[in-house]
Amino acid sequence: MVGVQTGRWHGSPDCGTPTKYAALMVRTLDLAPWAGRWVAVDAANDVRCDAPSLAQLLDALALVDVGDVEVMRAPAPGEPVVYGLG
Amino acid sequence: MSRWFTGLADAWQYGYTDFGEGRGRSPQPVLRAVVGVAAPGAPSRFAAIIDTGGPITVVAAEVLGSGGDPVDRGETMMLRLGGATNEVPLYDLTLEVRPPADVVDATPIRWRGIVAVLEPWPHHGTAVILGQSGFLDTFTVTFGPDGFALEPASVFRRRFPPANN
Repeated sequence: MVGVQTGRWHGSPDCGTPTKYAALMVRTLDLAPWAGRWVAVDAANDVRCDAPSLAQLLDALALVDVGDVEVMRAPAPGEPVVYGLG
Repeated sequence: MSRWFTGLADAWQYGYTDFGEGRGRSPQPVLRAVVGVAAPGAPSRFAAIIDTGGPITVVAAEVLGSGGDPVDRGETMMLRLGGATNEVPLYDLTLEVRPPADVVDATPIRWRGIVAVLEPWPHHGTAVILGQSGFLDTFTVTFGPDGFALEPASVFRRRFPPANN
């Protein structure tokens, strides 16, 4: 007999407990104060430098040594969530 | 075709990243598979999203200026990204992926592959989207419920040999 999948994992011990999202390993960033700006984030998830454009941020990083940082754009409120290519 | 420059002794394990883009808009966090990618030797790295559905690695134009010996291939492709369609130039570019923060004494892994260059960049969160050509042809990526791992591309066929027909 074949059970009906309703979007949740059922009964079998092999299934274990479903993990809805990665509570333990998620790197959660709070970039709301920089919404829409490009930011350089350090290993502690602190914003070390920010600029309105990627080019300006890279120029600033070339002038000031802020150590090991990762460059990204802070999401702006009201902009759609983008799911990548498609 | 990308080229694998260095070995990788163990799988590099990463946690997912929540840029906060789903807050107030989604019932759960929007989690991205993000690795740090840079031109070889560059002091800062770009947050790069792994997009398994993407046919090619796409970078913002500014990424080319950070190094990696970009060479224009004289070719273009039509790229549909974020609801817009653009004709974008293709480059050969060398990039390196940085190890997870908790892995010490690991050497970044360098590869050279084809990237599409999109300008202006429309995306949130990142200036690099890692797709099939230029990334997934170089790495085996394993996605789990609470993290993901990078290994060399050859690992996949060692783990899952082709079936004999």
